[in-house]
Amino acid sequence: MREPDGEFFDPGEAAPVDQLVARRWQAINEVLRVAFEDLPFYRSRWTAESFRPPARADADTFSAVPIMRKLDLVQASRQNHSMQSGVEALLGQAPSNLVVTSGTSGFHTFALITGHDLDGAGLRAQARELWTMKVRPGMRVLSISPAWHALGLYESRALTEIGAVPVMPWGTLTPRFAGDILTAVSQLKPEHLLVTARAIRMVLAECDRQKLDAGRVFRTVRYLGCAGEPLSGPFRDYLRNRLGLEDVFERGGSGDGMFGGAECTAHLGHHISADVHYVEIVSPRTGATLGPGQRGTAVVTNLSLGRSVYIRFDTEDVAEIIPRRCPCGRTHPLVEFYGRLADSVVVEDRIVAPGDVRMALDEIPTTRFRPFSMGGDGAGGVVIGLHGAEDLSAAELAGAKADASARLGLAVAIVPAGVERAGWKEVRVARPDTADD
Amino acid sequence: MVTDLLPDWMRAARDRAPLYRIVADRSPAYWHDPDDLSATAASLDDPFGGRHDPSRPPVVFPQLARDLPLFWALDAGDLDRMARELASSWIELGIVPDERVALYDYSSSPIVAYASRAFMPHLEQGAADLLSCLPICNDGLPELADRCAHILEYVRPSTLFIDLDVVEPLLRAIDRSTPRPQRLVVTADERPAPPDQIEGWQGALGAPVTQMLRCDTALFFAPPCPVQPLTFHPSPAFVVEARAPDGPDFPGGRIAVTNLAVRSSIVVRYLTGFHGAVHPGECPCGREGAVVISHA
Repeated sequence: MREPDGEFFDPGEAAPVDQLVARRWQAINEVLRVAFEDLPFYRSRWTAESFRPPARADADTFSAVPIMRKLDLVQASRQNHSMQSGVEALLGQAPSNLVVTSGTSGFHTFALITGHDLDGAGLRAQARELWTMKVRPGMRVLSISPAWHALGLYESRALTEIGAVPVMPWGTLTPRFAGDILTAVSQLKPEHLLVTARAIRMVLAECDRQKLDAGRVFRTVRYLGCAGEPLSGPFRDYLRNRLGLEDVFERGGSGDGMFGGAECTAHLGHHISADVHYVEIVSPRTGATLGPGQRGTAVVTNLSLGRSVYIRFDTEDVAEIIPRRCPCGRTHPLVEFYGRLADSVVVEDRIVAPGDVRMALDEIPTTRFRPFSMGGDGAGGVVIGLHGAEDLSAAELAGAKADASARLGLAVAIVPAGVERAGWKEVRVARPDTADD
Repeated sequence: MVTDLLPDWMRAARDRAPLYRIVADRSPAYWHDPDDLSATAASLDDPFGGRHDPSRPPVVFPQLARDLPLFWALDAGDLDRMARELASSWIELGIVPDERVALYDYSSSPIVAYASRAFMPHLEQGAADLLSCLPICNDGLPELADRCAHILEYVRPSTLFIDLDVVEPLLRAIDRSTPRPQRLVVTADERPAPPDQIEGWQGALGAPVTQMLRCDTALFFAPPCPVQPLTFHPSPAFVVEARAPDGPDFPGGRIAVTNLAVRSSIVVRYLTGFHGAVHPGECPCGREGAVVISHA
């Protein structure tokens, strides 16, 4: 068991950057070799595009590896009419688990995991993520890790590895189980909650419905790890103050690509384990790899085998690499996520993502924390469908519009919209089968 | 006989878990029901309903059942034994190594939780790990029936465990071309389906449908008899009794369960919502100790 006061889960979190970079290319060489020799998906695609893995990969040669997207996997799965899309690098082991990935494109793909990754690199990355968010041995941690989701499986194993004591409410992260989550908090008094932003909103709504004092119910809870969407500063402050928390951590990643990371106490971005996953930021317009501080979509390459392996997989999540070293001492890159590209508005070279609109709306008292949808106006501006906008006076609406416009730096229209009362993400997940993605 | 263990188990329960000291004052034989659990939880301000043995430090706290403010306190040994019980049920159902097993239920359901070490923290080997099967889970929401149909089509599991509440949504979500599992196993907390309903589903699905008996508050499940409907064969880890006759037409009573597999939270003579009888002799399938359910 690790020292409860230790800053890092393992010394590798503070490995010198040049060492991490060297290991990355070493791992990528092996992954590319296996992919070309053994994995039909990559071999056929790369052959069709006249690409052969270089003898020794580096930043330049790696950028020539064809980017793949969810639709490519969907197409392969459809063609094979199988759960296997040809990316399964199982190292001769029998798979231990099969997971279903999100249905954001209207079709679920699958991924296989073996014990090699469940006990190896995948576990290490997830355990670091939990440790970064202050999950510690012996700590009671509320967790609803869904068994269909890859990151849920890794979370379950990581809680085991750390020696935390999970509190496990009935059901899943949907509104109908808010009461069970609330019961688990009040009865078992956990110190840490691992939930989604949507779940914590619905639990607080349940608290209000039952006329409970949230500060009292959550009095033992010190930390909150929230996945699913970017958290605005005002929303973090609200949670900290209302629940009496020491800290609120944003965490996240992608079930497609099977990677994730969490913020540390510095809250500069998500720490992604660089010896397990390589994240690039790519321009959705040109496909070019972008440097730190530039916004594009996150493209992930898994550096470990014994699982379905994603190589230059475009998650289609808007993200950027934060161009600074974290004061916590972790040397792995910081990545900030802003929401799905499909939910964003691309204005010339700029991506206005749901996270940006959320930040802007939460700074304005009349629109704070209200669910919204968004889209382009066709003229370089954004139209925000705001839940409850009809309740605002004309002056309030005009003020909110002007304020949001100034904060976002483009024309904004605000119109009423009857979106589900939980947050911007529910607009995208109008199809219930993606509700927990 | 496992029932020979019961007196020792009862003494240990009284020594270790406050529920049984309270219950014994009213019912020396320890029969108790959900109201006793809730009352004990309230009077002791104990989320475990007085069943936790404090000498055994827990590693997980799963909620007993939906909408019930009670929890298990389980140690690693409990998890291991429950997974073995689940594996034993899978074997009884005819599941063999290398099969793909789909589970359309919540991760919190015991039918799912003990299926894989990746589903339950601190579990070293789940039923699928023990049997070298490949598990896949679909959350138990009715609106995820399409995804379950997709799993049937692309994964082609041999077995689909399914919560009773989502059978109908699944039947609506599939069509003639959807591959059928070799067996559909329906489970529901304290709600066994009547034989005509099972037959109806079997006709609609065009594949064998069976069910497991299940009581989440006792962490109990039992595979079905392959011959007799509404008849189940609990493993020796469960002592099943019928308490008091219901009436002249049915020589049985309310089914009580003692769970010998979980020891951090002690379950002795918990009265389930089932009524039935323990078959006194040999079941038509050739085994003894069958539980015949009359109704829930």
